[in-house]
Amino acid sequence: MGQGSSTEGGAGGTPQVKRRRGGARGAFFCFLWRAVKRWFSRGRVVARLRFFYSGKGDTILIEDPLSQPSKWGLIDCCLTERSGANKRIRDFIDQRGITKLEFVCLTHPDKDHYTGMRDLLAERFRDDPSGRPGFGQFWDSGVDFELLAAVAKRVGPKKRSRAIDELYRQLEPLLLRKAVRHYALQPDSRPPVDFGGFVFRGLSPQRNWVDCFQARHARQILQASGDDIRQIREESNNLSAVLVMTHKEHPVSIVLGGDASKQLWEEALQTWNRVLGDMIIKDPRFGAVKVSHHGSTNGLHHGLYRKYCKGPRTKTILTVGPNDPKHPDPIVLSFLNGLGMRVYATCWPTDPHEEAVASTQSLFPFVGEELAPPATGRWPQIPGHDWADIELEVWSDGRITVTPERSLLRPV
Amino acid sequence: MRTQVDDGQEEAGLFCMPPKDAPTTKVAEKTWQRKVISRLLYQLRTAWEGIESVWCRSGAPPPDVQVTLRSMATRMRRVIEGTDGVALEQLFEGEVAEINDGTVIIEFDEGVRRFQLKDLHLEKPLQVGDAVQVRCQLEVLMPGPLSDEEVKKWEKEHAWARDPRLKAEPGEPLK
Repeated sequence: MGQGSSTEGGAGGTPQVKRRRGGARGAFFCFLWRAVKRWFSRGRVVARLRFFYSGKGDTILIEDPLSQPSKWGLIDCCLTERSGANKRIRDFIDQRGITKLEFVCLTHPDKDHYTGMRDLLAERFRDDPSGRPGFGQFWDSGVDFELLAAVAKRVGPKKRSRAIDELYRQLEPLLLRKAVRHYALQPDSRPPVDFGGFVFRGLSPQRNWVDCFQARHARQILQASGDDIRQIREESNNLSAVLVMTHKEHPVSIVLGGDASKQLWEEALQTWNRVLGDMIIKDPRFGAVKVSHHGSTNGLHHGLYRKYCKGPRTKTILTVGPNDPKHPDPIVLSFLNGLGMRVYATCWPTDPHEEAVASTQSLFPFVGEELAPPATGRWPQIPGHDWADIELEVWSDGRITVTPERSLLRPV
Repeated sequence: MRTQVDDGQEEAGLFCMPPKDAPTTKVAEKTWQRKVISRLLYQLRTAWEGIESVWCRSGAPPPDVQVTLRSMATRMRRVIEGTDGVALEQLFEGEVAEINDGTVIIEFDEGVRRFQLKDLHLEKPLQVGDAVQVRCQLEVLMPGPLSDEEVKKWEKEHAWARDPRLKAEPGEPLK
């Protein structure tokens, strides 16, 4: 920590040290304060991320266990009946007694990221008697969702567009009366959420992508020919938000890539480099990465894993379903394996042949583990595959541990 | 009469997007076209395998049964150079093997298929041993532009979403 540096933000009880000339004493006390805080908080879990198995889709619950009571956030939802995620997340919420979310984040308006979000928010996080809803902030990519819904409606089934329309219709009164704050994740801004020692930064989508889409008038989109509509749909893939959560004091940063494409990663990492210049802990490498686009080659950015990861020490989380040859793509798996990374997937093959299992075990660490069935509810039985919710624990000394989690009986 | 399908092209979904890299040379163009047509044929075969009920275009002998699979394929359409409508057509020939209780069983080279007679709407009754042709068509259907009235209706429905008070705030500037 150099002379005259300043700590980030004021939330979480961190003291603000003002920049001043000749502040050697201030810098010393700042160093001492942080060393003492780190000493007392060593070996403590500072965040928990739970990746629910929900087929090829994302459902992530984030916990700040140091707050009293714990603070929670939700990133994306793919709560399908078939995967059992619809019931499991409700059981989990009931068991942990979660009544309030600090934020809800929709990285991008795709079916496998918003399925069931509206119902979950309506059921479990509805308004309390004072008229305040159970979630304080809603983050998205800031794009005109109704235009995206219109595009989705024209190129695909109507059901897909109806769900996103209903979600925003439910949000409408909350946003109008400012009961829920609505923030757009952009590369030059961050939502002001108080989430323990963590800061969330949006690295994408770039303004040009959003503006390009916003600039199209609704009439222009609706009266476009089929070819143009398909083109617009392809462009909308570049609207996914890349979210980074960094700790204010500990060298931990986790990146959640949504369905970011290779091009989007390129732009997001440029932003990350720019942001790093103003951070105290200037470690550009991520401790954990949620592999974008469910492990397809479209979302593979080689530089991300080579330059911005710690090799085998970086945890890569993959949210996938069974029997999909392209998600994850074998090319992506072999690339990550070549870097010595192990892929913590929510679903993995359990081949009966020993050799095959041995080869997949190097890729999927959970192969062969004795996993207890969930204590409550039914669970999906997938022939030739096994699954688990993944719990990722972030420790104050920078360690990140990953465990497959299927039991809800673990003591709170 | 077996369709030329490259097994390597088989994908999980019914509709597969062609590769995004646009071909630059003539050889690449031809290879790409071949791939796309191969995929179309795969779709056609998938449609054939999924035939459960069919409808009859006319009662002219031999019974000419048309099956239409509607699909959207932007780049495929460019390759085929056709407008909206039938892009590919495959004729399957078979023989009526059995008729009972409103059900007709036809033996094709590809396999045996069972149809409901009421679905066929035939003018001339079928008999066992009749030669039958089934015309399986792949129709490329692009989403057409909405009319002015439809756009006005849409704008009216979504007027609430255009409320500036609903627009997201940018958040705090990054330090």
